[in-house]
Amino acid sequence: MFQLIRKLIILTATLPFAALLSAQEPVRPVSTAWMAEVGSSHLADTYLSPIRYSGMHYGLTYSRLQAMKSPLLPCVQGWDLGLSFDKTRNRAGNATILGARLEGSWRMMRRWHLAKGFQAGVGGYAGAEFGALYLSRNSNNPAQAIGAVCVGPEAFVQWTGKLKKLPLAVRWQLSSPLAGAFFCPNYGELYYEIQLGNRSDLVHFAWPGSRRSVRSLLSVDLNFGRSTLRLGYSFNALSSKANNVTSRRISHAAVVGIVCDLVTLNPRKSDANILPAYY
Amino acid sequence: MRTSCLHIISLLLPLAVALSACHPIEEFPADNSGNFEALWTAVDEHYCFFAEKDVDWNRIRNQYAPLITADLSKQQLFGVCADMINELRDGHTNLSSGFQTSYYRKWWSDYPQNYDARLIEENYLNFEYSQLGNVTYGILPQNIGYIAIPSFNSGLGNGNIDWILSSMASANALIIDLRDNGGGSMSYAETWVRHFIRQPLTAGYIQHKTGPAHDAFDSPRPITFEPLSADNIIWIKPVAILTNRSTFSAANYMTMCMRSIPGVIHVGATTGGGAGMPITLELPNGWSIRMSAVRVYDSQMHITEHGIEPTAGCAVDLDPAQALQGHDSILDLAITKLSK
Repeated sequence: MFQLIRKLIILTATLPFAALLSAQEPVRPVSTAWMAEVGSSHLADTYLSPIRYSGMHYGLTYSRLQAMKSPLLPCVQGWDLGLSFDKTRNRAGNATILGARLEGSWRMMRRWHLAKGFQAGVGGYAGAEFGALYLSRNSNNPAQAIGAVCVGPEAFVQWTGKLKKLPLAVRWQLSSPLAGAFFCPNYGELYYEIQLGNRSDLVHFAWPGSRRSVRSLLSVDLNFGRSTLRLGYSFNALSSKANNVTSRRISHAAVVGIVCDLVTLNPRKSDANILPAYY
Repeated sequence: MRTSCLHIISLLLPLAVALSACHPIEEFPADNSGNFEALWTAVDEHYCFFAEKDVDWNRIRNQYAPLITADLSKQQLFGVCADMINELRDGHTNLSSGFQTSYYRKWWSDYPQNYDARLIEENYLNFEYSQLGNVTYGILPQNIGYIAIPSFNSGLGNGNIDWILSSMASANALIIDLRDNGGGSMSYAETWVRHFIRQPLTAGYIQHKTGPAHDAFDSPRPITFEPLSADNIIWIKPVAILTNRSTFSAANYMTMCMRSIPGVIHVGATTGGGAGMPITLELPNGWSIRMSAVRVYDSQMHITEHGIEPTAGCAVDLDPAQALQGHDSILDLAITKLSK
């Protein structure tokens, strides 16, 4: 009890100084984006079929990015969460592979202001994805699970300026995993056998030789006052090979989204020093 | 600092482009020759019984490839391809198109059928049997329970099987008739088997391929069933399994599992086999090819692809003359064995 009272006294005594310190820190708005994408999808997974499938790709992504507090290096950090769905057909048009994935990643990048309006960032990310592919007409191999965790470099370049009087930001961001782990059943192994308890050789070390991937987003943010419209083009490519099973997922998609900077401000502080993530 | 940033990005860009290159996947054109090659390759790389059936797949290719010409109609192409995969003599291997599914029938058509469901329903059960799902059951006049499972395309849950077995609690023994059961899901067969064990049972072994080579196999892994909880009905009285040549695939698997339970006798004819779990792949023209790809062994590490012979002294065919008198000689032998 005595210790609790002492802690309360110390906290009360230091509160004004803490408030003073926070008043000197810049406000760091969270750049938040809700994006939807629609495009083409190309899938192949030799566990299900040796034939490539093509069709539609749909996705929803929620993304956050915020400048970090670090006074030494100007860095940004954020995370995103995405849900995607693919519906593809074989060349003959008589079979369908459905795919669904949930993925999330966290990233941190050092950024540089290169020239007036230009900036770039380089850093890394850690991500995970889970999902499945489903080919209904197959007998004992109708589905393939997707599961991976990875880390890798990420970079962006951005130009911020105006088109006539319209503020805009053109950005290209790119990421590629370098290491991690991913799931792949053995060449002829059925999920029935995994269910019986044979779980050896299912998780593989991911490196560019076994699992390589590129995620790219070229976007234009058009600022209409209080809201920002994002238009873009997304390209994702992934290829993996383990246990003589080759998987491939490629998508090209048009992106449309809404971006806004979220700030938590004390209305009594009029001299807030704002440090945005992007602009 | 800005220069270093540009250096980093200029290094990352070509790296990302290089990393986007995909692992190669062998592809074939969608013409007659390409489809034939795709079929031959799929079987070559995934089929699991070349050695057991002494099939020289390269010789088969040399035999059939000259028959493939660009002017073959798709029906003619299908015929040549079906003939080629029938060389595997495998009931689990089918080629399916929009107009036909190939099927190798000799594994059962060269043998007597040995089964007439009505013979039992009329003369042994007097049509007073019960039915749950696709399973029929009743108690024979000799106070022996009788269960006919015609297929594992649909299954029963443990509660259903508890109900059936508890309805036979007064019976002295049980006959499970798997004749004409062409299989389905192995899980459904496993559900039945677990009602006959009181301790963990290694019923067999399973072995998958690890690569395209004909001899690339993982080491066999045991198929072990755990006993059910005390809430379920476990049958501990004598059991006989009846089979004919059409007892295939998952039914062959159930026969194999039941044979590994001490005291279970197996009466009738050798099963049809089908001990390769099938997978499905496809050709560029959309035809699908199903084939045996995973080997299943019995508890003695014997492959049962060619069928399981009945217990010594229990092999019998259905006698047509006796059948005309209303007798099923296979069922009669099982009753005699269980009545001793």
